Amino acid sequence: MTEYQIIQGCKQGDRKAYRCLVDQYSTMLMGVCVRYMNDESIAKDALQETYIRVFKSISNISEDGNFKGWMRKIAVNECLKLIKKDQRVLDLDDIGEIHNAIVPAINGILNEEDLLKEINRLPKHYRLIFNLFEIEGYSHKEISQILDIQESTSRTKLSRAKSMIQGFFLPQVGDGIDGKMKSYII
Amino acid sequence: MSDSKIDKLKEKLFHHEAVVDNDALWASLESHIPQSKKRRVLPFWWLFGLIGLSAFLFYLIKSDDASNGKIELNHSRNGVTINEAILQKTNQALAIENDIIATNKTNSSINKNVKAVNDQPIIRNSRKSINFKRPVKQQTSTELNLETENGLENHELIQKSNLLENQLPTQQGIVISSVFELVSTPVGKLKSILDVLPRVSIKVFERKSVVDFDIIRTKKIKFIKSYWLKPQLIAGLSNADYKSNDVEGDLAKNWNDNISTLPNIGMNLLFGADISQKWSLFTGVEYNRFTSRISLDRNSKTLEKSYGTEKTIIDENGNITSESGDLTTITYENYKGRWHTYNHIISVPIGVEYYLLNQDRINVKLILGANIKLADFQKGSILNESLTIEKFDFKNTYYQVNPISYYLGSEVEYLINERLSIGFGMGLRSNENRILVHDKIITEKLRSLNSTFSLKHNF
Repeated sequence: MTEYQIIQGCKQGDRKAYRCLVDQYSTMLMGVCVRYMNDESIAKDALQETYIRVFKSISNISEDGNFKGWMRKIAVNECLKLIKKDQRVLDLDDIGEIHNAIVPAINGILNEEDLLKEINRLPKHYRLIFNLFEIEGYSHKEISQILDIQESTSRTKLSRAKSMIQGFFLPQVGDGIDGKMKSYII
Repeated sequence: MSDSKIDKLKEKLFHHEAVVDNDALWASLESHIPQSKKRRVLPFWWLFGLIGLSAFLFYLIKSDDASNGKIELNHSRNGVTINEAILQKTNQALAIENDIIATNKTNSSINKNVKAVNDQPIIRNSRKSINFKRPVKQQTSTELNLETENGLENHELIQKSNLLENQLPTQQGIVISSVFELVSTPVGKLKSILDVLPRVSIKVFERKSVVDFDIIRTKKIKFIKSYWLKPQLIAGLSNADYKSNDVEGDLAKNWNDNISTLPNIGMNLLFGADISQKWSLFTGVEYNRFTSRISLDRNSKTLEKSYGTEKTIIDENGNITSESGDLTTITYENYKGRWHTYNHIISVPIGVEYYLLNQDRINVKLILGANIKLADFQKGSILNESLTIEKFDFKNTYYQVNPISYYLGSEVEYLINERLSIGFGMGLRSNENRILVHDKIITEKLRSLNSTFSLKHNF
């Protein structure tokens, strides 16, 4: 089924269309969820909530809109909701956690699974802000509203997250570190 | 690390996919599928069906009447010409009545003579017999051969009038009109929105010949009363499909906004009465649905918008400030969004028409009307790139409070032949919207220029 047919079918209550909606977009949406959630089971919960929200709102979506983009936004929002619910997951003032952020310098990371694993090793709030700003395109103002932090905090943490990610590639840029491991104390 | 590597990293993460057990996921989601909604047939479509059925029944009734008699009747808004059969019968009736008065016969005798008149072949309306041909220089034939009875008492005159009136048929008919209306509304300094509002109407009318006291002295029968019912279907198109910098000018050069309207639909049902040769009154109920589609992609601190010509703001303390020129100041920052709005508007049109010229082939009339909005429900959905889809309605976002539009216009109608007429019209409409936005009432006044072209066909 095409995207148009899926939307039309869902609007008309066609169960096959709903099934296609699940089959065709689950990997993409799960990819979004796992970027935000370390735990795969929590990511699955987020995915399920995302689909429930999509089911409820699809009747209002226009066929000529950016359907995938819309679902991605919902997925991000559902992840954020779950993260906010679980304060153990998101503790933006937990600076101490950063000291434990030991990120290996990895030569030639091009496999996205490995890459994701390394990104997931970032402190949770760094990873969150990095995802929101760099991947999803949120502004700092929006991030500050979503996470209830100062805009300057968002900027600072993003900068640090990027610095840490740059470390993944240090050997590649030839900084002289034969780094199999590199520690970042921020 | 180079920017290209960062970009590659972002690209990989953005498109990252993770395998899911779809069967298990589907099993957990299946119960959350919304129940399919039955497609609602909007009430007004039923109304149109009802109107169509009424028109069909009306046609059947008239067809049935056609077999019962033939009366040739010509009319215009000014008056009526009747054929020799009616004239003969009416004169016969009046002659009998005159005899009655002259000889001072008793009431029972009068009734007897009236009965004699009524025993003549029954005069009925018929679809075939009603000829809508408007008279050309036949106004004198509306005069009846009545003898002036200066000495008659009033009650006797009325008695004669009633007798005469009973001999004249009530006319019924249908006029189908197609009207092509153009509405130009200035928006800002640079652009006007042009709305095209074609509409089709079916006017069902009944004209009653009324013979009043003066008939005895003026010897004229006039149509001075008629009643009509007119449902209309309106379909609107607009050129309101523009980039924001068409309106906002230099401020919006770097924006990527699109504002457009989708085809709009509406209907109204008007009731009217021609209370005299010069004056008509009408009122009714009207429903319109407007749909807008707006997508904004802008990066700006502030924007001065200039819709309309005047702004009045009433704050929460009741203080009133008024500004001319710009209407609203809206702040946007890195805003991306797309939304659809649906306005459901229920209003009551009311007005009066005055015939400046009312001749055989040409009618010229002035129209003064108002359209009182009873309700303007705005519903829709916002698809905000920063958030998610949000449904909204008038309760918490935006609605219009009792706005009234006024209309002043004139129309010229020319009768091409017996059944076909064309018309041209021009008018000015002043529209006032009082909008409640964030607990503040903003009044905006919009003025538009209307022009109409109409084609009417009498059946």
